[in-house]
Amino acid sequence: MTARKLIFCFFILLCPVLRAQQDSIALREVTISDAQLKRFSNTQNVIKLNDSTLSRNSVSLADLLQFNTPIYFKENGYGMVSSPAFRGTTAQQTAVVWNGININSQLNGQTDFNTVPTAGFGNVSVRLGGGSAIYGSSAVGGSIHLENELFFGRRFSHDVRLAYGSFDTFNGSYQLAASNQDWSVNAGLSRNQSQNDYPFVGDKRNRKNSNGQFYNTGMNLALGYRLGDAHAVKLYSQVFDGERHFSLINTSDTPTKYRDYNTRNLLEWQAVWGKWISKVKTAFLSERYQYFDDLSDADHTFGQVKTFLARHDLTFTPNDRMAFNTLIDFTQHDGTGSDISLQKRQIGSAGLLFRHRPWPVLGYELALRKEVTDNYDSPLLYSAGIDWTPWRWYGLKVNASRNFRIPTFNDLYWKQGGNPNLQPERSYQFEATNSFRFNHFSMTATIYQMQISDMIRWVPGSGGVFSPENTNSVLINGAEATLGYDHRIGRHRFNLKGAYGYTDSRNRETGKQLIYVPYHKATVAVAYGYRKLSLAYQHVYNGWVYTQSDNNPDKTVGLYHVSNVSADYDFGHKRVYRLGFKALNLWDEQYESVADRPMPGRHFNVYLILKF
Amino acid sequence: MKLSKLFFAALFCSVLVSCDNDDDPVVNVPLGAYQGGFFVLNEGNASAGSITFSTYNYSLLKQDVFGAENEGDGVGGYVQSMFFGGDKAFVISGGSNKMTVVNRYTFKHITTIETGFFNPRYGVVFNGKAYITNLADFGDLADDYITVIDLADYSVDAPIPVGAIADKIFEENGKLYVLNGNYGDGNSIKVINPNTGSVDATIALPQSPNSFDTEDGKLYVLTASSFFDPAPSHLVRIDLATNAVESDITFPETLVGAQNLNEDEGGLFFTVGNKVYGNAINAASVSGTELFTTAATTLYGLKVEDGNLYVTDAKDYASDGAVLIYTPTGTLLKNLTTGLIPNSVYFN
Repeated sequence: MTARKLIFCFFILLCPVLRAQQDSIALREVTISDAQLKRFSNTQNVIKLNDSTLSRNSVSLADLLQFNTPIYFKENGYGMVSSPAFRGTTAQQTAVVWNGININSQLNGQTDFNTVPTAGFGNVSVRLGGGSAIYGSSAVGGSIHLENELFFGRRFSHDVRLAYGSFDTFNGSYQLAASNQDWSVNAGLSRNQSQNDYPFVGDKRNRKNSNGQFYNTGMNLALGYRLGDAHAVKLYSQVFDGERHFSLINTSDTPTKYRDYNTRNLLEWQAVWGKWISKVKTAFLSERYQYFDDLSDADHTFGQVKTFLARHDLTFTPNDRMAFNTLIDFTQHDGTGSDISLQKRQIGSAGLLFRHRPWPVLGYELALRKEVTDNYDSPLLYSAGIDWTPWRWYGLKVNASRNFRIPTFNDLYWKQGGNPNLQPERSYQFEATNSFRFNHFSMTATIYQMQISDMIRWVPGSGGVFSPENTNSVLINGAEATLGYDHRIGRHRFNLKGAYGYTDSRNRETGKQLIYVPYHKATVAVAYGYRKLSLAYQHVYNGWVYTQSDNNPDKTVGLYHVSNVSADYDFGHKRVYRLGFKALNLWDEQYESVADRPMPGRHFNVYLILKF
Repeated sequence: MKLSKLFFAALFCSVLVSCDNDDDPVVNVPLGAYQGGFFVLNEGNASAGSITFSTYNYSLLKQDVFGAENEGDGVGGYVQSMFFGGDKAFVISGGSNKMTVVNRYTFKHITTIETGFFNPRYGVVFNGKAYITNLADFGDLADDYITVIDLADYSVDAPIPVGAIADKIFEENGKLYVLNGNYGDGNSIKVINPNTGSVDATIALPQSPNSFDTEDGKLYVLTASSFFDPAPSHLVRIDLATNAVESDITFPETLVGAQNLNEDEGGLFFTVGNKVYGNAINAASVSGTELFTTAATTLYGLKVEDGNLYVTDAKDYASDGAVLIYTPTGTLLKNLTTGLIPNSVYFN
């Protein structure tokens, strides 16, 4: 047994020994746009990643979730295209929700998690399981929620984070938070760049990652204005501009690169009349990619979609045990590109959410949603769940839902092969979560079953031209467990978080496990603090995956264990001047998450966090 | 072309004899483990393709013969095609812009050429040089060219611009014939003088050429329409002595996007979807009735040789593929497992 495995086991065994108390995260007076995440997600499991977890991880959403959730990621080499399999589903069946708005690409239906910087988000939450009745398309395996928080009250603060490390990697962000009773602004800039030319661990020919350099610049803004107690206007904005060269697999491959440019703007007017809260939201989103298939000239292919969204969100709370919420939506997508002709898609939807807690120990939630569009038949989406907490230390959540994933612009309108007759993918899901709390401990254990039919898959037609079809159906049986431990003894602070996922995701016709879905994934993060010193250790274990749909046992990507360790010290007195050092892939594991796409070995960075 | 056919024929005879008699008198000294069988080229993915070998009697089926015989890098990703010259085989990786040279009988690595290619497709050996077509930038249909490799020292000579799509290639009467067709684009054949690089003739075609075969001084070319403007395929016969189009047969309405033209024993074979069609070589029209429907999930390639049809099946593009070997009437003789996305079959 190697040293790193011993350490891994040590941490696993350590947990039951340590004494425990409730997870206590100090709640602040904040407002967020995605109220449904807080108010209508009580019968499902939500993993919250708070600021200390965010600052401990690297700057991309992919890294953050890889080390802190049961979600599996495959990545075409470090920083390259990163797509998740959430509860054994596909990348298109995971929704990314920005301030309550689904931001998955309308072109390919997914979010590339390496193009979402975490800087500026006060909160990142992972909602496990189906959520289409609230969040619409793609919330099948689960959803990732990015939230900008707005604080009201007198405050003026700066947050500067700088990191520099191996492979000429620089990460920097600046965030300003200023507020008084009526105004609140939270604005920031971030920049990430890397030569990303890491040597391949254990490679006999001493090869390096070539043509893997990337940079991205982000801007985020959250602005709030309160007009008395009854009204508030909020504006949220995000701009992301990134360029990645795509790593070569073979040295003589043609070098390529890819540019993303995304903008997101959301304007919200909130009005409170007694027991009624009305929110009118309008959003304008744009996404554009450019793919340069040969760097010797400026020729490229591109695609872009502009999205306009208008939503009315009305909540009626007759008493503190009960709430009704209606959501009425209109969305228009205008897409164009080198491979799709100009297309417009309009979707209208209406939803009703209801929650009721007739007894303190028992509550339930119901959600219904129906979308209407010219393009396809949309199923009635629903969710129903019960939350039963008979004892302080034990709770049970049961939820059943119907979810979907709509065909994308590429699926429908790709010039060569697009199929305008596609229907949405449909899914039923059932899950049950037991949760336990003992003093410093919290634990959840979930089982779920999911059935997905009419999966959209690109299949070859005549002349070798691929075209998407509603084919395949998938049955997923899985289990998840999370563990939390949080304790302070004098000036010592201990924190442990663990997550485990078991996923059996099979094509129902062939009985084979889906490719790039591991049976097992586990993460452990341990943090220790003493006065101004913080130490943290993270570990991810990723089980092996099949790379071929016939489950050829010779065609797999092997399991891997990867650990990060960090240490920092806060030299500030009233302010935070934290200087730290991080070693990533501490045990120099030779690993890849996609076949023939080696990931970096042990590497380092130093970081500085200033808050003043 | 003719020489190599004679060679194949000789091999076939020897194998037929050897089936009954282990002490085959014809092949006295085997040139290597891979003599007397066929290769299946597995296109693979962006990182790697592979090559499967089977003996003619299927007694030995071996996957990834390059990897089995050699250390180090594989043959590259998206393996497009393979061609032969003397005792050498040349494997073209379209994804990795490289060509791997091996001994065709032992499959031992000789050299790898990684310069001079940009989305290479097909090659041919003539007069001590290898000529390999390149699509170059996919978005530019006019920048295609031929890479010229001097086989004496594997140096890369000056490329020959084609001025049209450069895809399939063969040599006849000392001239290079380059089919200017790829996925429905292009509609001609360029006849190029390999010594001067000049285009001697351009043969106009009704549609985009996708496959060909030659027999008795005639070139038979199968064409297909553009994806965006579907129309029945054409079969065009060209006299190789004059480069004149002798006949142009329009297929029945149902036969759109025909591919994989092969000549064998006086018949022409081609495929539409997963069906195989056939015709007498000089028939005045093409029948819309298939010879048989193959069991292939995704018929990806066809090679017809000595009365047998070798159909490659790419399955779902994410599983081990197969070669299905049929008689012309559709009797399945053998189903062999291959690597990922088998696209072509070569006899050795």
